[in-house]
This record gives sequence, structure tokens and C-alpha cells, in this order.
Amino acid sequence: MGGHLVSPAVSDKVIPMPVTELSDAALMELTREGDRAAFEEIVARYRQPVLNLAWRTVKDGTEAEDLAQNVFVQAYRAADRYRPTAKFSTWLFTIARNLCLNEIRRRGRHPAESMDAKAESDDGEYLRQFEDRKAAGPDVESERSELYSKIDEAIRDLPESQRTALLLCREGDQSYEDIAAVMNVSVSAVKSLIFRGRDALKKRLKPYLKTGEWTVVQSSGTED
Amino acid sequence: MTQPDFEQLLEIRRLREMRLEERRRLESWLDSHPEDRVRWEEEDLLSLALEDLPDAEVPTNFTARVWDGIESVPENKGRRFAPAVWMEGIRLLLPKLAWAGAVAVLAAYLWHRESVREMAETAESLVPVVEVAQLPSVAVLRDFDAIRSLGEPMVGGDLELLAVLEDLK
Repeated sequence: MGGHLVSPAVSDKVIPMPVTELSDAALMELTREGDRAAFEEIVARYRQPVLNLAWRTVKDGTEAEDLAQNVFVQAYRAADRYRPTAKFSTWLFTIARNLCLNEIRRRGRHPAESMDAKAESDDGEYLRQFEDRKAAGPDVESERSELYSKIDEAIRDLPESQRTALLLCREGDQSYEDIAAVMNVSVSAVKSLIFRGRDALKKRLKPYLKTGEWTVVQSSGTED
Repeated sequence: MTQPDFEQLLEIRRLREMRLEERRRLESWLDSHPEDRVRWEEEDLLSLALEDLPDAEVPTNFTARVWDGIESVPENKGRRFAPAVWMEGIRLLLPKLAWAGAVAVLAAYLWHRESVREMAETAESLVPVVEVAQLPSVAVLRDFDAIRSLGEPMVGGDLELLAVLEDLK
């Protein structure tokens, strides 16, 4: 639990706030002081988006897990250097992107270790997990699975910068400014990367996106 | 609403779900500009597809494995930075250092250029003076000492003359 951070309403009584209610910056401050629970809360908040980014970058389940874990290891080691003036998610995703780039470069140097074949099998496993998670009619699921598979394939084939911009966009809570900070480019460059990435996806996925049944499924699932 | 407003709504949709008010503005625009509807639908469908992509499955022991990673190297227990982390920090700082260096070089160049310009201006301003105040040739200076002595008061000579006059008395 957070040591000295207290609820503003009861600050005179010094009642520690639960870590789940603390801001990222406050959690990092506690982490610096050695509070394990605070860092575990950070991990709980960000493991999913970080793992998503890693998985869609390296396309290998095991490597993505290792990479995502390494992101948090690095974040912990560098906790002293984190300044609350920067948005924590931006800082963390910067670490994640750098490690992803390192992995891509490593694979470029050692093409024999490419996980393409494994990734295909992972795709199957991955989609089966999703099918288990979202029970629906077999036809709809089959169509969905095909679409997800095609989208993942199309995303994988994008240039790294376009792919990262799109994936950060998808992880929510990231503004164009945040993405620009992560990628160390201008906001207009981010908009351009996203536009071009989406344009490539639209061209490639046009037949799938236009499928009437899928549209109906999506609309019913995301109606306001 | 104008065309740039519509483009802005498309940008918003690329980033997140639209709010009710934004959706209303969009519908209003599309009613009066049906030619934009196809473009909007493509953007919306792609956004839905991306948003609906399944998440990667997080292993149940993820956090424990993170701690293993942190504690696997003894010096990391006190969160002392490993060289790799320092290198990473330096690498992250490199673009900023490069910018600072470029600014410093530019400033030095401008300062140097300004100094050269000032010196050139000074030299240029001295040219008329040099032309007016031409120095005599070296030959003229050959008898400089003799000529200079002509202008000096003959103190010694006067004293000798005075002594001779005294003697004559």
C-alpha cells in the first residue's frame, strides 16, 4: 500500500489511499521509495496495452511476453529518472517502442531467428482464444476471425512507424501529442503516419470491411 | 460546419469514439454532403475493426515474471542503473544533444560572421584616412635626426656664447 500518500479529504488524519486510486505519477513516486504494491499496480494498469503493442510488433507470443516484461523491468530500473511532468503512459510506451525497435533490429541481424512460421501458429491459437472469449454464432465468429486475421496481417506488413502510430492510437488514452512524444516526431507527422497507415489498411481490407454481415455484427456490438 | 471541420471529425474518429455532440454534427454534415458519406463509412468501419481487435492474452504469472526480471541481476534490487539502461538514456538524449549542438554551432557561426563583418567595416572606414594621411617616403627620413635637431632650442650654444661674452668683459 502507498506509504504516505493520503486522501485530500482526510489529509489531517493521514489515511493511506489504496494504490488503485493513485495516479500513475504518485505510484511511480512510491515505486522510487521501494513500494512493491505501487509498482504492481502500474504493471496491472499497463500490461495489456504494452503486451498488445509488443504482440502486434513481434508477432510471437513468447517473445512478446518477454518484451513486455522487459518494458516493466526497464521502467522499474529507470524509475528515478521519471519526472511527473511527463505523462507516464507516454514515458512507458517510449520504452516499449524502443525495445520493440531493438527486437526488430535484432531480427534484421539474425533473420534465421525470424518467427514468421511460429507467428502463423500463434495466430491460430490467438484467434481460438478470442473465439472462446466472445461466444457468438459459428458463421459470425468465422467471419470475424478471418477479418481479425487479415487486419493483423495487414498491420504487420505496414512500415514500423505507421504500425506503431496506429497501434498506439488503438490503445486509447493516447492523444496525437502523446503519440508524437513517444515516436519523437511532430504531431503533423503522426497524423500523416496514421493517415497513410489507415489508407493502406483500407485498400487492403476493403473487401472485408464492406462485408454486410460483419458490419451488422460490429454495429450491434458498438452502438452508443 | 465547414469541410475542415469535417476533416477534424475524421481525425477524431481515427483516434477514438465520437461523442454524441460530435456525432450529431457529423450526421448533419453528411445529410447536406452525401458525397462524403462513403469516405466517412470507410473510416468508421476501419476504426471499428481496429478497436475490436482482440487483446493479446496476458499470462497469469506476468507480474511475477517482471519481478523475476528485476531481481535477476543483484544490483537491480536497489534500482541502480545497469549500463544498458544508461546507454538507453543517452540514446534517448542524443536527439536533444544533437539539437543543442546544432544551435551552438549556428550561434558560433553567426557570432563569427558578425565579428568578421565588424572588422571589415572598421577597415573600410580607415581607408579614407589612410589616403589623406600618406606617409613620407623612407628617403625623407634619412636626415630625420638632423632636421629634428634644427627645431630644438640651442641651449648649449647660448651658454657658450654667454661665457665668451663674460670673458670679453
